Amino acid sequence: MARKLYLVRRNLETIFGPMDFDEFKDGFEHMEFGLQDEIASHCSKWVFLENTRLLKRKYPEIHEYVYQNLRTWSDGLQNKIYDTRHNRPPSPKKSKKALIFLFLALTALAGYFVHKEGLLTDLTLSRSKNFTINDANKLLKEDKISVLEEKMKVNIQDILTSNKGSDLYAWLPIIRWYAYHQDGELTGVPPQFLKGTVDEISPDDCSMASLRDMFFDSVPQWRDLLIRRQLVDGDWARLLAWDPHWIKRRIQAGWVKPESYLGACVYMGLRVFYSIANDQEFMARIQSVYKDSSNFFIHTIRNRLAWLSYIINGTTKPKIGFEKKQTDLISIWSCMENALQVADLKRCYEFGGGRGAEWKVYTDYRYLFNLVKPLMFDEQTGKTLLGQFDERILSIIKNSDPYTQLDIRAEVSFLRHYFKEKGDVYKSLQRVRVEFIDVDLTRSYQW
Amino acid sequence: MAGATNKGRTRKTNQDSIFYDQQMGVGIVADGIGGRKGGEVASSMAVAHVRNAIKNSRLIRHEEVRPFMINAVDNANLAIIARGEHDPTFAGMGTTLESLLFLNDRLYLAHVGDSRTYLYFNAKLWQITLDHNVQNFLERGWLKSGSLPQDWKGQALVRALGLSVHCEIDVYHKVIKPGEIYLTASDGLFDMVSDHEICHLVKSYFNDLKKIPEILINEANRKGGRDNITVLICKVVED
Repeated sequence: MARKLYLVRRNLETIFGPMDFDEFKDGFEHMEFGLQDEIASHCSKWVFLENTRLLKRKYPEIHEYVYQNLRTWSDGLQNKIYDTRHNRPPSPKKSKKALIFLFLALTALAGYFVHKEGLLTDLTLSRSKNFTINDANKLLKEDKISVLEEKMKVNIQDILTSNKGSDLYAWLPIIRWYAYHQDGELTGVPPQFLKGTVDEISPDDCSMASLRDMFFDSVPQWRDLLIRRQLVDGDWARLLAWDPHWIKRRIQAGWVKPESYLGACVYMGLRVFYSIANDQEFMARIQSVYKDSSNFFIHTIRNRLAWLSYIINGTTKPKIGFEKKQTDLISIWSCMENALQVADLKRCYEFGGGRGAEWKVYTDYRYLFNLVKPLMFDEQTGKTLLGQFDERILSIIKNSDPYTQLDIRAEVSFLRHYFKEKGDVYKSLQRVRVEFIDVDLTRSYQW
Repeated sequence: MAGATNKGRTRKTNQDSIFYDQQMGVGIVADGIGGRKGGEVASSMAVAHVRNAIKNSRLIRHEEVRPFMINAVDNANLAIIARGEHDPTFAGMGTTLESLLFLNDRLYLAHVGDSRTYLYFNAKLWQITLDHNVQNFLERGWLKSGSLPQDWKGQALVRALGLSVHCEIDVYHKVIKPGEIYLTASDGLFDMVSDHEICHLVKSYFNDLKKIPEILINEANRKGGRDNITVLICKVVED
């Protein structure tokens, strides 16, 4: 009998397959595709993997595997967590005896404290099976961060092991919040799980440890990017080149705080640079390459990360101004991103001078991309500027950033509508909102 | 590669256009929108623009291809609109577009409208592209039923070149394998011939693929031929 074959489709962009059931299982287990993707077999309808009802009806074998796998993964996690702490997998018989002994010991201990203090210990209270996702969301909404952190610290293992399928998925934003509130990693949880499905070119692992290594390895290239203004090929350089307004405008499902994976990467990168003075190995490497200029490079990159994080995550705003001319590439970008008036935008642009053809072309693009902001919020000026800007400038802007490859069709669409509607910002924004439902051009911590 | 186009049995003209070049690794199918003037002009403009853009490009890296294709199709869209604005005879003309680019071990497929691309492999057939019609958009929650005029039908087009300055383009990409066959067609084919029948015919003529476009067109005409029919077939072979 001919084996059944499947295709998997992501975001109406990437097609995986044809694959048989074993290949599907392999791909799913390695998180090459996930619940938000679609599957189809021969002459059949596409079904989203998260649509449990339809998936069960059309592809019961896939449904059984996917949701069984999610349960088994979270079960397997318990062994991995245990393994990390005790360096060997538990034996069932031994662990059962150990549990009974532990239970008796704890009961005795609890009884002693109840008798002595007349109250229950914090330990018993905190490890409560009644800590639900609603409780967690409520604490986060009420900004009770230290309470939530403590609850998560105590309950994280339970959350990861006892929730299955879509229940685990519901916890994902809080799990991510907790992870990036720590060092960007959780014991036994693969980095791919925290990252999820992200189409933008970005590091696979944005834990502090991983980003620290990434920046450490890139030290000799810092001069190429900042001073020589070469568009260096590397995740670290692209991270610094990300436009924070682009990131803030995109609404990413499965995240609460940070609001996106890219936002998490920026935040973790900033923390790496905040703690760099205590990293002797890192400091030694920077000083060996840049000697007296070491502080300049550290400060400039940290300032850039602080600016990105301010716009994306609402952290403390660093000093970004127009009075002091800063000619390193990333400061020029920050300057343009900060500009709310077209005149300020032009001033930042002119800080750069004209060296390097590739950089110049790219800065032209970034200038035009950053026009969206002042045109949105400076309506009077915008209308008078209509005469100065010709719609042909839109031929310079492609549909994605030529360096970071971020998809900028929403911003391009706004500019097109803006010209067509003769400067009617409100109408232009309305049109973009309908065309791109996951993009809100007005979102920013800057105002 | 092989392709063919036919006006069908009921239409007076053929508003479909096709181009393919095996050496370039390019195949393009466009269906001028029926009921609107200048559909033929719109489809041939779309094909010409994309073909020339690819011919004049020097694509190298994988990450350059997608933005390039979006740009090429976007420019075709603007050119069609401009032509319509310049010449009232062609005002409001539009077209669908399927543009395939085979580069190294990948296929890049730009898709707008309700023409389709299928993948045939191992006697199985999948429709890769999502039709840009009202029914699909309602199902996915991209349109609210309350926002539509009452007379809009489920199969009515939501996206096509020439209808709006902004036209969102789907660009699919896939790592290709020897033995895969990509079949691109205008709706004149699959409105007449079911997917199962298409699969059966491809399977029957698997060893003589160059005949398949004509065979499929003949089948569509045999069943009524109520629209123009265009079929393009591309087979991936071992290098």
